[in-house]
Amino acid sequence: MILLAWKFIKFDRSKSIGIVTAIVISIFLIGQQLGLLGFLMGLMGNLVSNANLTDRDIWVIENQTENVNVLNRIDQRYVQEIRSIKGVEQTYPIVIVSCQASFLDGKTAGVNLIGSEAPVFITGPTQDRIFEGRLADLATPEAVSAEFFNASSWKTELFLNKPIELNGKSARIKLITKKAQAFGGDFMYTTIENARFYGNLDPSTVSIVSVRLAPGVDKMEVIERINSLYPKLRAWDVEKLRNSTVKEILISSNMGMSFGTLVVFAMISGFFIIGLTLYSSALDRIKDYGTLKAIGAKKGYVNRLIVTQAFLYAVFGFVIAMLLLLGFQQGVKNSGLFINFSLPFVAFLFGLTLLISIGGSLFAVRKISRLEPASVF
Amino acid sequence: MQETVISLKGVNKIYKTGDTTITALDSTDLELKKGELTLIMGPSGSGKTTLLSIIGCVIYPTAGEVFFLDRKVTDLKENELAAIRLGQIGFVFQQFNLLEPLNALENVMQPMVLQQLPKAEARQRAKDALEKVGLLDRMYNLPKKLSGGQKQRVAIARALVTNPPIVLCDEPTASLDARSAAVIMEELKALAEEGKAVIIVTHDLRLRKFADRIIYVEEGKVSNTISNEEEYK
Repeated sequence: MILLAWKFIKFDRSKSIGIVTAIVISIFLIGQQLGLLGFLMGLMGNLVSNANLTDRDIWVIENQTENVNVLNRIDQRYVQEIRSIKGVEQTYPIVIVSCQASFLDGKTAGVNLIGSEAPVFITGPTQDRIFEGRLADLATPEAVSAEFFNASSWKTELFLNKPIELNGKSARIKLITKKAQAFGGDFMYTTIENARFYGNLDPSTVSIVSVRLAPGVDKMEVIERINSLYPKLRAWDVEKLRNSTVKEILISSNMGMSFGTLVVFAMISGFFIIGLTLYSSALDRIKDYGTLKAIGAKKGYVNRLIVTQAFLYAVFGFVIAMLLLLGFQQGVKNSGLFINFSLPFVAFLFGLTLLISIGGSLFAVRKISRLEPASVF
Repeated sequence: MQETVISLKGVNKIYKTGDTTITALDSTDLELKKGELTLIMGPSGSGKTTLLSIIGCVIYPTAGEVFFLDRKVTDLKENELAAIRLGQIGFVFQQFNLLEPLNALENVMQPMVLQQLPKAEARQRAKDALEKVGLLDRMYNLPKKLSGGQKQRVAIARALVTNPPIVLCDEPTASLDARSAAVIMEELKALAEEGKAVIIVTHDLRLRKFADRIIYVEEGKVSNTISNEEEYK
């Protein structure tokens, strides 16, 4: 059957090229857009992802927001109060302040300075995101980190010990991160003292209280306790806070709608282009299908022949689209755009290709299914 | 006495399109036998093709019964009819109807592919069939690379490769020149002499000399069925 389907595909070369091209364009667009969305969603939650957290950690923030990138400050005293709650092992204050970074070459950039207590550095960056330098180097006065991939957007060169200014105060890059980018303002990591200093922040406030629970403690129970004790605060499982952040940004920026619409339209256009081209191809070969029926092929056989062609188109189209996507992935990697084509995502794309291609073939199947073998006389 | 392969009893076929009803075949009784070359003749629109389609188990009659080798086929399902066509009937079409994407050998192999015979066996039998019609040297040619006569011989090879007892031909010489037509008719005549029932629908009066029996169809009725001897009396 596959050989016969292949012969039909090969014979109708121009239409076959059209169908495969439609699949490639559809799947490439869908893969590219979803990959890009995945990358941006990763950035949206990077404040959490970059942090040195465990599954015993909770973040407490003021209760007005569900987006960790947009925080109002809370009283510093909560850090001690929450530490006294049963089941809490430790609490860590986190400060996030906006600064203007100025470089020696006169370039400037808006950054978010993230400060947490040394030597733990609960906000990270995690070891796998440190490109140059050591986390402990951030514990020195004036020390801040910078993101490797921001060099191009800041249009400056980044290296260890590079002197910079933050809000007009002198600082020095002691750590370079990689893949720790932010969505919107760029991240610079430092100690809590430095963050307060550069951000001109009152020491009586913090942005987040990071709470580490004692082993074996029920996380939900502590979250509920904090929420009931402090109505102005909200305790979050960090994973849920990241998801909530992503959801908030997707909705408020209409990004979800925008990417979703593009993906849906790529699917619909692919479905109809493939469907109609396959239909037209089936009409071109209607005499062959009728002959097959007349000489004794069962209806199911002829239907399978069309679906097998659609399957082969899907495989060819998918392979070419994936090669293009991998090329795209490599091409944008150097600019800090990391698109992850995980195995489940690739499997999803293949499933989608089959859906579009085989779904599109149903127009042709329907037509040929009704074809009477007597039509060839 | 030759064995009856197909018999039609009180068969009629009515087509309805909107308010119009067309009786393509009316109260037809007919018996077709092995070892006979039968011509079905008549003017255009007379019901010849409808008769051929019913004989070939391609369409169901509106009323009446069709027996194929003593088996009543009018009650069979579509797929069962397809199985009969595949195993028991060889078709030769006016426009040859070779599968365009397949070469001559693959075209001849196709009925055996549908029968799910082992590929090697199907290939060998297809080669033998092509050799019989003198086209072994053209077996890798696509239909578009063959002449009309060659295409029809490939179609005959395809029709015969499963060794069916019945060969149905729809205007097999209509697209051929006189010389190719004569060659094809000689081959079909030889098949009848080998014991097959060869049924040919045609307009071509020149073919009468090859027939053992001629059936005339007019306005949906089998108006006359005579043996060739009577025809030439």
